[in-house]
Amino acid sequence: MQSLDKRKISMLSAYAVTLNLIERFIPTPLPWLRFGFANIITLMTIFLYGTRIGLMVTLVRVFTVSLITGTFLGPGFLLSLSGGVLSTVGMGVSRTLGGRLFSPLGLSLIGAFLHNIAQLSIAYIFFVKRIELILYISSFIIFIGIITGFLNGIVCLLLIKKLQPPVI
Amino acid sequence: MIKHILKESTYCDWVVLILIFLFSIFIFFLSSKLYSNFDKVIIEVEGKKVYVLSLKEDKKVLVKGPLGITTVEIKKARVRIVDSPCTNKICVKQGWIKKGVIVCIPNKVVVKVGIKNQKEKGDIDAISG
Repeated sequence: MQSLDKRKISMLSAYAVTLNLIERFIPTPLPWLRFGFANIITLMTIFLYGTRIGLMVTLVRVFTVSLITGTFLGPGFLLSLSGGVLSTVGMGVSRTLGGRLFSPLGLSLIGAFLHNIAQLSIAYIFFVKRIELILYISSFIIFIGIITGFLNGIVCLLLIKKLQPPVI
Repeated sequence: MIKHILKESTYCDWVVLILIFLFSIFIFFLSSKLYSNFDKVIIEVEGKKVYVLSLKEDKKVLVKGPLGITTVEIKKARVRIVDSPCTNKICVKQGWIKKGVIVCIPNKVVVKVGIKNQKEKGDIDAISG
């Protein structure tokens, strides 16, 4: 890996970690409901530098945040790792295959959706094991995911416009 | 700004949005079908399921226990035990319930309303962290 890549990854991961930690302080009506601001960084990275660097940024973010908050290898860590990896890969693949088919808005929605799907599957396989309970909650979670994914997508849309040509 | 968003977003973005929305609605209906235990009345005698009835249907059933016949009535989405052969009649005194359990220990009759029947393994209350 080139040193320029390393610099990008560390800078972007720092942004992502910070956003992730800040959003924990924002009160939400439900404890597991979060905005996923870090997804903005992931999406921006995929758009500007490609899927590989985006995946690295996500992994560094998940590991760092879990070490800071003390949830490393816990259930929360497993959930964010699965969600992060699947959403990043999904967004990267849609970006690569779709080309100009999707704008950041669409990719953000896909990412949020896949993030929820991964987390719900992991929650079902390892923790809850009751499919009707998971299905019951997943319709709400996916619906909330549409809202947060939409908002994050709009932020990305506006940011990418401002950031052309790429900085960092 | 809205104009800008509309200009920059593509046709496929909105298709994705609608598809995910439809998916969540589909899951909602699927789960509500699976979760229909909410309006079920389950009557058990000596731990065995004897009747599974709908809370919405008005009905009177006679349940045979070891002591005799317990009469259970469902009316207007409520359930009560009308009569029981037991001596203390605690179950009869409990009256109408909308959700929960009526138990008659002497006659070994349990009436569950809107409660899941089986206890399953790996049942976790909450996860933190």
